[in-house]
Amino acid sequence: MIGIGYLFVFAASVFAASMGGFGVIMHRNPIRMLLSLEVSFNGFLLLLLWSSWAVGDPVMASGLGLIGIGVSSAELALMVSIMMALFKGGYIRRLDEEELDQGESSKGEASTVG
Amino acid sequence: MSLLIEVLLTVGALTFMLLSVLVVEHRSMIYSALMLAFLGLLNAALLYSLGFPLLAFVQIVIYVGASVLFLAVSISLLKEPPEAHTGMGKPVLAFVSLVALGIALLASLAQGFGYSVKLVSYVLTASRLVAHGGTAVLLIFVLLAVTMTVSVTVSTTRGEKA
Repeated sequence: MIGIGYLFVFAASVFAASMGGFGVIMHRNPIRMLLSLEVSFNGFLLLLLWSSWAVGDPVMASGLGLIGIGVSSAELALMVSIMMALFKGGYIRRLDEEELDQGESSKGEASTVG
Repeated sequence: MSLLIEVLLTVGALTFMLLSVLVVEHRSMIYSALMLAFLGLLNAALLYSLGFPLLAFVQIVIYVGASVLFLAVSISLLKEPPEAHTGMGKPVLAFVSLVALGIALLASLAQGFGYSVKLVSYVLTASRLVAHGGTAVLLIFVLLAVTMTVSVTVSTTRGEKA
């Protein structure tokens, strides 16, 4: 019998994985997409290890988790350095420019309607 | 004691959900990166509670300690719109203070119930590391070393064409 706390952990892992996927779909800024992917990775890592804990065979999942953490850390460092290089080269000038424009335009529409 | 663990796990899972929403939806990317660091720490705590102390250790040292903080510092060096910083300092401070007070209260309650933290032997950790995941750990260190070298090289090129 699995306790209620462990069921909440399962629900949290599924929620975080879904939330990360939602963020990847909804945002167009590459850094925001990267952050959302990291949320999704954390959710899937927790889900993998929770599943192995529930099944009762944690050794293989532990090795997979180690490799996953290493690959994700390496990918994160590499992607951030590429973003920094793009920013320094002038390919990205400001962060969240499109989202801010959208926010300002939606505020303007709301004030016009109000 | 079992009830205390259930309560701690439930609170941790709910906080995990809240942090994942904040990382994805917060307007400031600096706060999002910091929330991602807290999410990684909380994930390590949940992994520890599931019986994976080694993975929790690796998650804290490599993932949060190196990569996510590198991401946070890099984003904080970029130019972010000033509108993104308004009005979130006090609520975040209040939330962190409440969480810290709650953890202190739970810790004092745990001591009252006779619960004590089991100290992990580093010799045991190292032997488990070598016995169960020697190849994986070797791959991780090689991968991280190569990636950090490439990352520093790419960051210092200033976007120039090769």
